[in-house]
Amino acid sequence: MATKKSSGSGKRDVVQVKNPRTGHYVKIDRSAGKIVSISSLKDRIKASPSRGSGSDYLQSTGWGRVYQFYSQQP
Amino acid sequence: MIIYNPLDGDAFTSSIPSNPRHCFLMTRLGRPVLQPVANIRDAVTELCGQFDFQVIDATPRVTGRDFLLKIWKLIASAPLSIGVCHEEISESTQANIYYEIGVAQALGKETLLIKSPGTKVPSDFIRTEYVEFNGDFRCNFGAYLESLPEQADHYEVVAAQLERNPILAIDYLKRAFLISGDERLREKAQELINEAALEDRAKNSVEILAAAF
Repeated sequence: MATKKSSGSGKRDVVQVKNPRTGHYVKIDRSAGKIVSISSLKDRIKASPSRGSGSDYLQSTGWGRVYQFYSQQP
Repeated sequence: MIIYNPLDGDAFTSSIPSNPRHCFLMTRLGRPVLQPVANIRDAVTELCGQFDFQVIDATPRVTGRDFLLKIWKLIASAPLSIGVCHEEISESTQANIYYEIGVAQALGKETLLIKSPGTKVPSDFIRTEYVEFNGDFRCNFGAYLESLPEQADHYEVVAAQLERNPILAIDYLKRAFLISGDERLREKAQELINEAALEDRAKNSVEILAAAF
């Protein structure tokens, strides 16, 4: 599977991935290369729609279970 | 992943050969054979076989070395560790089984407890996934085994998101590989190592060992 570099100029690039075992979403800060947290159902409801470079990444790979969570300045 | 030898606390600096699509079974192994436990073992072995998982345990492998070390290496080598507990198994043996489940969890393995309805689970394991050996066992255990490929896919997806953290990405690729046996994942791990330009590292360095699965 191809990967795409995280967005430049200091932007953070956070995605969330659903763990099928637990049903919880794992947030991954791709820029920092770390697993940030496991989100609860409440967090999932708050998650914003895909946008920006992460969205492009999703389209390029076709992985349906990766969701762009948010991009923000550090 | 750095694995420390339980006997002396020093790190293993050689690779542990992988046993993809294997299930390490932890239960009472000695004689006299407890028939209820033997029945559970037989059912587990049969169902694992249907899903192309080979069951291994600590008995048939004679290494001439420490038994605990052998157990650690077998746990580390396989994707799945299953503990079988029954009320007729002595407390000391059950303690060993729970210890080994803990080791497997610490090493990032898929773990499952199969227990008889009469077995009481220690409080530290109340959040550990378990299947009771009852009339629904085949259905429930089969569903668990059927879910494993999806878990392997999850590990591969997470690895793909961790390109800025190659050692962690490689460890997730290893977890996916052990479940699926897909050689493509080994190649991916090697690519990550190659991209990291680690040619000058020792062959038994943490980075090179991580990708040698």
